[in-house]
Amino acid sequence: MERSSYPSEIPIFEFPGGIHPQENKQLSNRSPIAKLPLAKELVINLKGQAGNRSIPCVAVGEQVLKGQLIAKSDGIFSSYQHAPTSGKIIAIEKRPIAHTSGLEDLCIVLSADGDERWVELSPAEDFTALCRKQILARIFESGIVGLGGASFPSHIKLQREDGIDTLIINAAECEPYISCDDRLLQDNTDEVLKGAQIISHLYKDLNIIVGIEDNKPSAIEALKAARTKLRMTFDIAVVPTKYPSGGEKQLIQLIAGKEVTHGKLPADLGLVMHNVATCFAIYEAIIQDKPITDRVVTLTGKACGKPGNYRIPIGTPIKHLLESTQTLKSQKLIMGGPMMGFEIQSINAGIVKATNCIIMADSNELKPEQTSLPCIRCGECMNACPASLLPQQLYWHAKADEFDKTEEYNLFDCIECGACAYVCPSDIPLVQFYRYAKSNIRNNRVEKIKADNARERHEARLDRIERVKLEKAEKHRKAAEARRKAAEASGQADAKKAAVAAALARVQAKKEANHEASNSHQADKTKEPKA
Amino acid sequence: MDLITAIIVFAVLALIFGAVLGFAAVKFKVEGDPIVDQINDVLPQTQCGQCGYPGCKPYAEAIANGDEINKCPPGGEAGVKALADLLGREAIPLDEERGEEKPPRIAYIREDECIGCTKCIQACPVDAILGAPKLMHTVIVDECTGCDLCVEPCPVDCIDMLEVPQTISTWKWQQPELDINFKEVS
Repeated sequence: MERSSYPSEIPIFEFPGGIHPQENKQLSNRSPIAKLPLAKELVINLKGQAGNRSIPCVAVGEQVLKGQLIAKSDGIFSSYQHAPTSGKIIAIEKRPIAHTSGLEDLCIVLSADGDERWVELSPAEDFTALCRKQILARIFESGIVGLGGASFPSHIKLQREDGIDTLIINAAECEPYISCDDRLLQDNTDEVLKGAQIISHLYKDLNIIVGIEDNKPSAIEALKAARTKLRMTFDIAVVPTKYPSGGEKQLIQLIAGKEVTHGKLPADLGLVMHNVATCFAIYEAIIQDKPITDRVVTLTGKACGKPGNYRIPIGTPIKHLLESTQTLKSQKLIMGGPMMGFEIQSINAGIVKATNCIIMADSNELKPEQTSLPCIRCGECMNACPASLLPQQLYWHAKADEFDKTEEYNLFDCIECGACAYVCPSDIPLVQFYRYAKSNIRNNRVEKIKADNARERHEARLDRIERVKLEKAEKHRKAAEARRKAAEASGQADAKKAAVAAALARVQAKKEANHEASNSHQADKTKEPKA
Repeated sequence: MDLITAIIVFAVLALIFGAVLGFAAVKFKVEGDPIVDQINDVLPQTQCGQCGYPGCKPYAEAIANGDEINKCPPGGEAGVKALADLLGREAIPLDEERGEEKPPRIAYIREDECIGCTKCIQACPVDAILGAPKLMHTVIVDECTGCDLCVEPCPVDCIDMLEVPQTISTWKWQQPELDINFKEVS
């Protein structure tokens, strides 16, 4: 692939490990971003972002306009969702979603009327007039999440203000096949850069660096031209093409030469990083008042009839994408890239905000699933790991279900980039082992919290039973005391004797009553009304 | 002379150490039995009583006093392994007499059949059933441990134990199967 002859404007450092897989970006990055015909039905996954499920705020049968709010954030860790087009809500139900498990989850189903009528928008040409709070609120209400793939709610990432001095725009796009950020930088350069300016304005003024791999010469040219045109100041850090240079921690290491260590955030180093597509979405949200209703998706793969980059409404079913690109005989569908993506289980699932690429692969395109051979302890995985972990050690422990040991070997620093599995001569599905261990550890944590909760409730119950018992005893004792006092007051010297006599009389009366009851059937019936 | 000096020195040392130990015993006194709490932490807190004890804590106490570690079906084999690791004992298979390991379940009251007798409420070890006399009862799903204790007291058999359906948030990755075929080297 063509490499940029353009040198980096700032010194570039290195990160450990990494691999050089076949790039295959030329399949899709030749033509400008296009549009596809609108799908008849959109399936909007309510858990389409990191965090909790959004809460629907429309009713079935309701007419909605494009950009109208249809689901709210849960208020803690979630994001807003908007109608991707105008039409009618026809269902809010469980539908297949784009997830490795192939499970169903709650979705809003929108039947498009094809008019694309927008809600009333109030564009704000001058974002500098808005204060930080207003911009953050608008970002939140526009449902903006990290569009690089993690879909972490952006307003949370932008919350921390103090100590931040540098904004890195992540344009590395290191994963093979994907070219949506590359194309967005070429076709919408000004908008992306204005988005970056808005983020910079949020922190008063930030030092902006665009991190980009050297396999995108046209995007670098476009950035340079736009910089002169917009009279902006920012540095272009051209990093050598090596997977996974686009990982947040890896790109920071490349540009800042500093490592985001275990348990730390980029913000601890004074950095904040946003993806190209996120900057574009922020521009649209603030300047044009448009929430996220669509995103640029790379449709590619050798089986794809019309590969390229398209602006696709959120919730468009994959089936529709196959039909409108005239893809007939795809063997395998991957959402995301070939390294970190996953196989699509149902073509009825809709795309989500995190969907940056769909690979429609033919039979000999991707590495076939091979039988794994035993680990020969070659250590290649260790050399390839960009996080400086010991993949082999993690593999042994995950295989033996020794999850605490995997945590000791910093399993949670693994970014699941797949470099280790790529270089493994025995074709061991290493990442799958790490995911297995991670999901088990997470589940165990949830179960532990539940167990602790159950223990607390059980103990509270035992305490309550004990307390009620004591209270009852106390009440009886007090009543007895009161009776005794009353008897004393009424002047009966031998109160005790009288009490004994009274008790005897009561017993006698009861005996007689019982005798009578046993003779009568009616009494039995009244005793057990439920029988 | 030397002998007496030695005796005095040791006596004084003994007194000093005794005082330090005595002080430490009072100052750093540990409430309860820490090993019981550690065992209790490992137990699943279902409070189901399948072990033969009236709850997880009593069973933890029994284990600390030498009872077998394989009497907890909800904890399963993983639980036995965790207990074995904690106590330095050997992991033994689950005692089948106590029941078998089942997938997580929760109680469900068929509400239109409920007569409001409160018997299940009294049986629930974690207060996960809500209701009042002669009024409908229902299970607080998030608090139910699936212990089965409410099923038996119900006079109208309107409580079902249902398996918890898998959702996106409870879904787990499976361990990849490595079907490695070794050929005998002759």
